[in-house]
Amino acid sequence: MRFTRIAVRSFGPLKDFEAGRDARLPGLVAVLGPNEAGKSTLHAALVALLHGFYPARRDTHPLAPWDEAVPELRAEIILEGGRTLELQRRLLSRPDATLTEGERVEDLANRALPFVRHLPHALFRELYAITLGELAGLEAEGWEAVEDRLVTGLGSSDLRPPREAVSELEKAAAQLWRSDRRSKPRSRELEEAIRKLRQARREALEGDRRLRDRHRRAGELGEALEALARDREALEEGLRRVRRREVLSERAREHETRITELEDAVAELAEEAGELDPATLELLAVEARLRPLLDRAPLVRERALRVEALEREVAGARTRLASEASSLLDLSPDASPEGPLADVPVTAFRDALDRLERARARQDELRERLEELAGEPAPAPPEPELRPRLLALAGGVLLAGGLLLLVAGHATPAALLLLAGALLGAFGGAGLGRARGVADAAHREIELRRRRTEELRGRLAEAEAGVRQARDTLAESLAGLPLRAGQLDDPRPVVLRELLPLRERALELRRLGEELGGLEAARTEVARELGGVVAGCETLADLPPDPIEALPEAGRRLERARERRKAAEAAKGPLERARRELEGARGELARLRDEAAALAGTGDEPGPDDPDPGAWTEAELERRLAAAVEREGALRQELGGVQAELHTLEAQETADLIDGRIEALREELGEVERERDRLFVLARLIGTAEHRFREAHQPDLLLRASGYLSAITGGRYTRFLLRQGAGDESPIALEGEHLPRALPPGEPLSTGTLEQLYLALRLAMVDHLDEGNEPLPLILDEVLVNWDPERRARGLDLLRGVAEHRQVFLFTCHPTLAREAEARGAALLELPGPG
Amino acid sequence: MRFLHLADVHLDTPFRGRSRELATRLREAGRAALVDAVEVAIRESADAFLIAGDLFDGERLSWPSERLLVESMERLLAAGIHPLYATGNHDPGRGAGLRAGIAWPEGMTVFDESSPRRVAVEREGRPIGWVTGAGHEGPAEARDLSATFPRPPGPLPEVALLHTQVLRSRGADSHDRYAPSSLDELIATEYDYWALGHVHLRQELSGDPAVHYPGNPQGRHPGESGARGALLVDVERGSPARATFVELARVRWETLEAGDLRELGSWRALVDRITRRWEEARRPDPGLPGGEWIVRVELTGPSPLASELARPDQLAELEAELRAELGALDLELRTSGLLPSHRPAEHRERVDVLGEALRLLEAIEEGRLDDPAALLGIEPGELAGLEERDTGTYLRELLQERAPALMETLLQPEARG
Repeated sequence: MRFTRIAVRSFGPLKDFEAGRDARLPGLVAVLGPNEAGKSTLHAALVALLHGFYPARRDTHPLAPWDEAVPELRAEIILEGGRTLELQRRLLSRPDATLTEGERVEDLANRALPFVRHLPHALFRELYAITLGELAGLEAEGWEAVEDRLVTGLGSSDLRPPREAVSELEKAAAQLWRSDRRSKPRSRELEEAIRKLRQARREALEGDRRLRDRHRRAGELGEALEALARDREALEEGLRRVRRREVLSERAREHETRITELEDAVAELAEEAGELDPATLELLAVEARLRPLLDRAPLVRERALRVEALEREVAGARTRLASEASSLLDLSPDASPEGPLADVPVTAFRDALDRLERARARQDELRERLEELAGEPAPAPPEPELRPRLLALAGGVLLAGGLLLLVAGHATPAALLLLAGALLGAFGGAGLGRARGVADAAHREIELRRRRTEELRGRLAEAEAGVRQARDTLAESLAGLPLRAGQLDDPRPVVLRELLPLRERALELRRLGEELGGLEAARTEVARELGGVVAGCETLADLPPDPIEALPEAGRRLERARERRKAAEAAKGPLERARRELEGARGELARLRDEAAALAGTGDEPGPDDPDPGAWTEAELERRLAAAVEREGALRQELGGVQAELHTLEAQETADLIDGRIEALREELGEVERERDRLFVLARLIGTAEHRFREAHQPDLLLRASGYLSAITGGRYTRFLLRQGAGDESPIALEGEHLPRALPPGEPLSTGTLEQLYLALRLAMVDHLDEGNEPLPLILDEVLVNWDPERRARGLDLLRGVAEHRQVFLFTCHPTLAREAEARGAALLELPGPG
Repeated sequence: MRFLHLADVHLDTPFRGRSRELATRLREAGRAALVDAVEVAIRESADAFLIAGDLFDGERLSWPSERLLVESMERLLAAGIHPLYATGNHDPGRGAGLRAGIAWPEGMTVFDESSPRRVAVEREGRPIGWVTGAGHEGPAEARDLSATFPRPPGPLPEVALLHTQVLRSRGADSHDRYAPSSLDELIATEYDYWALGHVHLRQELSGDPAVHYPGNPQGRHPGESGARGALLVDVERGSPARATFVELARVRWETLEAGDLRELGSWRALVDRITRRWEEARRPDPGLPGGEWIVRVELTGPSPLASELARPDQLAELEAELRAELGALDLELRTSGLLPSHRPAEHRERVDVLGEALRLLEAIEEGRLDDPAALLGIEPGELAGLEERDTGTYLRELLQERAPALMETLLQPEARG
């Protein structure tokens, strides 16, 4: 490829630089300019045109202007086949680039040109874009790359440097396994882990043995505890029996005392509950007959008192009745009025008496009214009235006068007279009417008084007849009474009414008499019945005959007999209970004695290990029990410790799990070793391939470099050689006729010669690197400055030859060198000074 | 006669779980399988409980496991079930090891001698069948113990109990060849049922007379995948025995092949592929209710995700995602067979170091080089994992199918795609 036109705008000190506008640039181009003219900027622009901007950010690119101007590079490129391309790159905030070929536009962004991509940017800068300083001594990376390219790549742009790959593999392999003891690869970590696990396995097996031992011990302790529990149970049982025996003895003593008490009580109660005496039995035998009489005794006594009171009351009543009745009745001194009085039909008497009183009252009323009527004055006839008549007459006169006036035509006086006449006439007429009415009323009153008198007289006669009839009826109702004479002739109701209380008293007296008779009869009956009872009971034979006196005594005797019998009855229950209690107490005493006998054991003297704790004393038992409890506590404590240890041991990892982990680690170790070997062998394989390839292909490159070097030095140095087994030294050796043997490049060669040597190598390498691809431009910056004129001329000649197939830019600040190049067909681009 | 046929419990196996928790869980699952087997025997009213060896894994038998064993046998006896146990190569009868110290309950039969013994199995005090058994006396029994088993004489069912490797049985190659026996010889003995142990893969070697391996009741590693358990057997004299598989393993190992990964360019696609394959696998075989799974997923062949999955952190992240997706107890992605998506053939003719290295690698892989170690300048002492192997063979193993890795190493990142 060849740049035929270049334009640079706003890039470093170059503002609007353009080359090839008038004539397209040839293969050899000399760029001349003083210091700070922009040669380095143009150098950088050429590299950027090919590979893009580095760095790719405007704000960090050292050649980006400080103002807002956009750095822009443009170029016209002709490829080997004659294709013409237009390239434009701009460094905006992010770079952009377009490559145009006819109508076809490719967006490159910041990528390298398609025909440049077989060479990485760094390598291009190392080999194609060389400054004097870079030529004098390649950086380590550059030199290794040179060597790699020299001996291996030869145009394989898609390969990584083999030594880099080998180094990477060896490094990875060394991280997995090393034959020496340096560092700590994974295999050693695994081996250490396995060693630790083996130790852990031994400990786990020991732990398992310990676990079994502890389980066995736990079992022994469990059995010992069970045996101890049995012993303790036996001791506790023995102690319980001993203590029980004591309790039983105490209770037996208590029962013996109680039995004595009960025996006394039984004897006493038995006596109390024994047979009744004959008198009591005799009384109890008539109890059924006597009891009703005794029950009636209060009544009899009460009746006796009542008889006495009644007798007194009857006598008094009879006297009072005789006295009170004496005014009404005509009685003989020994006659009693009570009979006739009591027999008066009281209803009929009352009715007759009431009727008589009503008849007499009617009679008296009528007589009184007649007397009143007879005593009233008779009414007189009324006198005639004059005033009404005079008024009527005056009225007539006035009316006549009025009529006359009216006729005469005196209307008004006529009217007045007519009105006055009418009024006087009216008043007069009314007065005459009233007088006539009063006279009529007087006549009617006289007639009425006459009729009423006659009527009253008739009714009086009837009343008088009624009185007579009522008196007869009354007399008839009192027919049995010896009434005093005249009592019925004009009997007054008040007097007659006194008969009614008398009759009531008579009736009461009769009732009292009857009651008194009844009481007497009852008393007689009781006395008779009591007599019957006494007749059959000698115990009561001494009772007085009067039942009122006899019954209380009989009752007291009977009550004593009953109490006696009750006491006997009452003693039977306690006696029975006492007997049962006594029997129970005797049984309990026997049971206690039996139990005590059963608890007593053999009674033999116990030995120190006597298996029958029942035979030991309480103190011995307590001592042994305390010892057993203490021993049990100790065993339980030990068992707790064993169980805690078991818990810990069971939580530990077991041998099978550790074995599994060891197996896994060993498997991993095997895989690690195998992988390491695989990486190691691959590294060796690549190394071997590299060596074989180097042997096969290196001579061609070195032959070409040797030709360039010989041309530059005029045959003083003839060729490069590849040194086998150079170790850390350069694999390249230099051969010359003046040299005793092939020597590595370096001292004592002069600076100029070394630069010539490296340039020859680079020329050969670039030939190889882009062989089969577009030959890329070579950009040389003052690389000939240290050369003597003769070798510089040879060098320029050589570059002229190179420029026939590869464009060469030769930068210099020396006009002489520029002119020499121009003399060899170079286009001269002069950059103005910074001025 | 009904009995449960169990073998190869391997209590206290050192599980190579990827974590201590997982190893502990697997150990508990092994113990639970024994407990569940006892439950099944009781529930199914078995007359006997036959253990065909390798009841525990070795002298490391822990006290808790030993106690569980003894208690389990006591439970069987309490339920009227006769436990009969023939020792195997992992739990041989002789010696003063742990096994000798186990206090087996009275009533249990332990066949710990190589000479066969015949023991009656009773129901309500009357014999209902016979079990003839022999045990391994040492850890490396080389004799054919079945050869000394007598011909069964009586009219009652006759069962033989032995820990043996029947030659040519499936899966026998993965086990050490202890007490080898011949299927033909076993059949010829006229037992109604041969209750065998040693091979962990459940299989019926013969139907009539019946010869069975029940497999182990709990898988111990990825190679022991599938349902695991015991056989519930009904046997009558002269009739074919009926053996029914009873699944016991609460934790199952399963390996899943992810298939061709070349077209799977994202994690999501890979997760979806694995999830789909898992669901397809579980549809006909869902496992025990509440059972757990330890899944190993094999990622092999070229994959665009190879470099991502080569990073341990990325791999662990993907494993965690898949573990959650599948609901697995644990999940392991095996990536050792995973290759970058490079095509070595396209680069083998290059005229550069890569081309040279690929050609050299191919020559070593194909064994065309007499002494690759000498060519590569490798001394045996420089190799970590050589052990007793031949250096050349080992190098060939190491470099087998390493061409994509070589390309991954030498190619620029942008050129790897």
